[in-house]
Amino acid sequence: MILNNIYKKYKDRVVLDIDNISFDDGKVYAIIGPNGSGKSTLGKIISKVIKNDKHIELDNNVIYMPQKSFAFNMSVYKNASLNISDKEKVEEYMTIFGLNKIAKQNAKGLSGGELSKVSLIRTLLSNSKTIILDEPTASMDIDAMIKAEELIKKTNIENKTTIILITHSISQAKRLADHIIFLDKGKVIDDSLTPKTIDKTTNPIIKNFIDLYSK
Amino acid sequence: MIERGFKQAIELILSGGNEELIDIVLRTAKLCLYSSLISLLLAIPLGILLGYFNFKGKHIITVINNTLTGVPPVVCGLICYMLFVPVGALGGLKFFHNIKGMVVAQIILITPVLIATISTFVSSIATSIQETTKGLKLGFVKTMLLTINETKFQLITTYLLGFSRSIAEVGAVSMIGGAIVWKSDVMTTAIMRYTNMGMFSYGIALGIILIFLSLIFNIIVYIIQMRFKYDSK
Repeated sequence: MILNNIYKKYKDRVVLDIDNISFDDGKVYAIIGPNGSGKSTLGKIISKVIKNDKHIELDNNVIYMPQKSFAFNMSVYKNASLNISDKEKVEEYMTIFGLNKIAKQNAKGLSGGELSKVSLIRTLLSNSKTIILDEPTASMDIDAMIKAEELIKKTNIENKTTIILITHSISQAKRLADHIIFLDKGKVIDDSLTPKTIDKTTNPIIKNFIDLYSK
Repeated sequence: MIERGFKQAIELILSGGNEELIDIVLRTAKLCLYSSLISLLLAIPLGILLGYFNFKGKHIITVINNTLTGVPPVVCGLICYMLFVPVGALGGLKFFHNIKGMVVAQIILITPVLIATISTFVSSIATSIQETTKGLKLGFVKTMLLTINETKFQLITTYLLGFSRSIAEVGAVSMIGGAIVWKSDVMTTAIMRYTNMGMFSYGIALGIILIFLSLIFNIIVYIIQMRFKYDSK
C-alpha cells in the first residue's frame, strides 16, 4: 500500500502533512511519536474514518480499532461478534481474555480494559487484509497485554494480515513490529527504523523521545 | 364554592362520571395517543439523521427546528384554522372542527420538540459511534440500527415528553377543534368551558382526572425506564 498526499488541517492547524508513506503487505508496522504527532489522525485517514483534505486513493477495507471503543447497548458477546461470521473464533478469543464469564452481561458495564479486549477481538477477526490498531493495549493490565500481543502476532503470521500498530510504547513496537515509523508534528521523521536499529538512531528528535519514554 | 366544587367532583368521579365526561376523557386519550405516537415516529428518523450526520445546511435546519419548538400553540392553531377551514387551502380534507385537525395541530407542535431532544442525544454519542462503525466498515443500515438501539432508553423519555405536551395543550386544539361538545371537546378545553360557565365541579373533576391520568402514565413509563436501566446492568 503506497499512499501519497496525506494532509489534514483542523481550523488553522496542520495536523498531518505526509508526501508519501508505504506499507508492505503482510508486515507489522509500528507508528510511534509524541502526543499530537498525528498518529491517530493518520490511522483514521488510512481507514477512511475521517477524510483526507487532498485527493488520495485508499483501500476501502482497512479496519480501524479506535483508542476509545464504543460499547453498544447489547451483550458483551454481541459487541465482540458485531461484524464476525465465525462465532466459534469469537468464543475462543473471549475465553482467552476471560470474557466468556461475562458474555451475556450488557457491555455498557465494562471497564476500559475489558472494552479494549472486546474491540480487539472484533478487529482481529474481521478478516481484513489490513488492520490498524490505535493504542490497543493502553487500558489493559500486563497479563491481558501479553495475550493481546500474542493474538496480534498470530493474526499477522496466520492470515498474512498487514498490521499498523499505533503506540506510545517503544518496547511494544520492538516486540511486535517489523518496521517502525516515527511521526512528529504531523511529519514522518524516519520510516526506515526497525526494532534492531531504533536504539542506534542519531536523529535528535527520536533519541529524545526514546530517552523520555525510557524513564 | 370551591370546596363544594371539590366535593361534587369527587362524587362525580366515584359515581363513574356521566356520558359527557366519559366521552371527553376517551376523546382526550385518543387525541394524545395519536398525536404523540405519530410525532415520535416522525421525530425518530429526523432526529437521528440531524444528530448523526454533518451536512450542508445542518445548522440552518437545527435553528429552524429549535425555533419551531417555541411556536405558541394558539399560533399553530390559527395556522391550522386558516388551512383547514372549509374555504381554506386544505378545506377539502375535512379536518376542521374535529379530532383529525386537532391531531395535525398537535403533531406540528410536538414533533420539533421531540426532534430536538433526540438529535441532541444522538449528537452526544455520534462521534464515538462513527469511529467504531466506520472503523469496522459496518455500513449505513447497520449503523442506523445500532444508533436507534442506543436511543431506546432516551426514546421512552422523549415519548413521555410528547404525551405530556399533548395532554396539557389547550390553545391549538381549541382553535382548530372548536371545543364542540360530543365532537371535539377534550379535557383541557372542557375545563375552560365548564369554568367559564361556573360549573366548577365538572372543571375540577376533569382536572383531577387529567392529573390522575398523567400520574398513571408517568408511573408506567417510569417502570419501563427502570426495566431498561436494570437490563443494562
